[in-house]
Amino acid sequence: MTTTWHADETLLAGYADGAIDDARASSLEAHLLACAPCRAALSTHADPAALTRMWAEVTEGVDAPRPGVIERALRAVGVPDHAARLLSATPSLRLSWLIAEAIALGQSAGHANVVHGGPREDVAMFGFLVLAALLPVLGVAFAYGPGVDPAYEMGIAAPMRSGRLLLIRAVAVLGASILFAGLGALAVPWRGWEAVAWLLPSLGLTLATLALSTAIRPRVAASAVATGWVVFAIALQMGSGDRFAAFRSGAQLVFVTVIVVSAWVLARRRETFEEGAFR
Amino acid sequence: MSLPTVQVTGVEKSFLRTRALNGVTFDAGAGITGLLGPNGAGKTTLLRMIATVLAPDAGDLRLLGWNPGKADERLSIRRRLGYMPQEPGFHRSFTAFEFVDYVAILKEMVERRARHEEVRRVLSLVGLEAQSGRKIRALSGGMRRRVALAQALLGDPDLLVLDEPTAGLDPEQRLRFREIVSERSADRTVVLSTHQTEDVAALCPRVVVMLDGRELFDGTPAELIDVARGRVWLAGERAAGAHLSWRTGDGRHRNIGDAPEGADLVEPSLEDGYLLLVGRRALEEEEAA
Amino acid sequence: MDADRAGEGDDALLSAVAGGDRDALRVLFERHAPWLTMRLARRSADPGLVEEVVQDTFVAVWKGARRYRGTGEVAAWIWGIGIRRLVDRLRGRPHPVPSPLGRGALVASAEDEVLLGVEHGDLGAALNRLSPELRAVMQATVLDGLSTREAASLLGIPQGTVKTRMMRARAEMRGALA
Repeated sequence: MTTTWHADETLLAGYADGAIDDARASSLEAHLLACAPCRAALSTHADPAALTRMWAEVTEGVDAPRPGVIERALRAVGVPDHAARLLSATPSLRLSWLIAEAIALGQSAGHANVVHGGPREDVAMFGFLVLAALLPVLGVAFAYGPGVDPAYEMGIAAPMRSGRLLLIRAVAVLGASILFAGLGALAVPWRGWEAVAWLLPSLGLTLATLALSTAIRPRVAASAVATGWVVFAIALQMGSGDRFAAFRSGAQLVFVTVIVVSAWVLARRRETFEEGAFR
Repeated sequence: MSLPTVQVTGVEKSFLRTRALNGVTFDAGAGITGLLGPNGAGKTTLLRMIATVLAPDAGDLRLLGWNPGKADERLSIRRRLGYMPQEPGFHRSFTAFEFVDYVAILKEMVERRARHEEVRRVLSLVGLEAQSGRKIRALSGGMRRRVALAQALLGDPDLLVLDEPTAGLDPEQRLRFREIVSERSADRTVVLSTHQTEDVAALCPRVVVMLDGRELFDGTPAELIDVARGRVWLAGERAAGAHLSWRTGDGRHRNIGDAPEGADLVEPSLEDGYLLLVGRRALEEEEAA
Repeated sequence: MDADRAGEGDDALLSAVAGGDRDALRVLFERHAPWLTMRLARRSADPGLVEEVVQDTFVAVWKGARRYRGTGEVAAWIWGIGIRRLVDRLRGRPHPVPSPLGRGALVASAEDEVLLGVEHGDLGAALNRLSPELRAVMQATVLDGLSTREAASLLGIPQGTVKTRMMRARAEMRGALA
């Protein structure tokens, strides 16, 4: 292959028009792979409109944020792309967090499964139920707020309602938790409905955390609710002698009340999310 | 004559035991207004109020004609507002483009194509077009500041609030920053804070000097210079009647205060006026910066 | 903006792209998109598809710049990405046999003989005397560097047919050169 030969204008024009024969075209193509000046000369025959069009699409493809696994999964189930973007920026919806949650619940349920029939099964089951109700509260604590969301202040100053953002994230966090805990319940099928006795408590605790967040910082609210829950579950157990007292119908009714009251408080006080940090 | 964009009247704010704002009053209209003052003067607190991120304990605040204390009016303000916080936080793994895109979504730009166009527009305004694909943690401090400025410029806001925008920038970056801001200020209102007098001298037709939660001065840079007229002189050493005195490069002392008879008076600078108002504390902070 | 980078070689630009430099990508695009578009257009009759493939190629260049090992020409690397992308798009898709091949004069002028001799020597002339189908197969495998399977996808024919046509083409060319 020579380096001093270059294609002349006629040849290039002919190639650009698709008018020259295959053998010459092939030769030219092989030459172009190695010769920058000829490539540059050929460019003058290109269609500028087509190039502009293609470049616009390339920038879109390059700039467009690369959706992570979570974001793609969300889009796949029909979440609009802007909401998916907002969710993907949530610390407690990151893959690492979700995996940790899945492992925690998996181990807990798995443990109950393994000690099935033995004296420790009830304790293991209790642990699983308490944990399953508790995890979404932690998730909410790390979904939003100063110290957790780096762009918190810019978010407050932006028109989009921060309460709405928090709600979207809380729903996603809760959904993920329920999914994992539900799967965990499958590991203990002989317990029947007992294995999902965490459902109402988890809803209640999450809503209570959100409602409290209208008055105090989310992480403080979550700590308070989480601690209160554990204390409640253990106290009821010791007081009544029934290990699962916190999950019987009486307690479930309590949680229904908590859900209703929290939802009401949230609705009444939702404006507080639009105001800045409580400092 | 239309109402000023920003009307602050007797605004007070306390945090626990600290009185951050002690009854601040001033107006700001089209153009750039600089808030000058040492750390702790209350600049950031005031700017956060103007950015609707914080509510005053007492006093009145009107932004773009609306009252940020009312939910729906606050929303209207936020739709025309751009805010660059003092310490902008970024999501660790986002690229510059992704972060500005995220804020654009928070600014209600739902349609993806149009939103991406706008993100590209503001990134090129701050000169970060070529860096838009780089992760923020891989960008230098000056570039991160520019990302923060870019998100504030989204949607072409009528009110731009910038908290210490030039902090940590080298002189060239500061110059470039000033160009970006002044281009944008013709019929918009820009309120920025700084403790660098050169920024104010170069950029701001209006200056408000703050100290301990109060405004000490409200006027033009020329007026601030005048405060020090006849009160700045050079001497061989620190003079007795000087409020402040420091050694200049050529070995003589620059003194500010009540000049004695026959003193070697010099033309005052903006910094002199500022220091005269704000006193020793400000000088110590300038030296540390 | 372009004047600043006019002197930079493709290798340097590609390194810059690997570091996230969008401007460098744009310069690479300006240098290589034109010939890539034209070369792909000779292998697919669908102009919309060709544009999409070119777009996808440069997005792939952006994402994969780090993987470029600096061996050989950047242009060849880009071609490899582009032609494989085209093949992927055509795979399993009913498509008309690409028409650009087979057009143009079959008889070479004296000048053409010189040109052909420059790049492929006698092979060039022999190539021209093949029938369009045989030539297409030779082009896809020998010149474009595709595997039998990829060539089959590109041309819309079964792999077996690719192999038999290649054998016939080689036999004919050997005969012509002898």
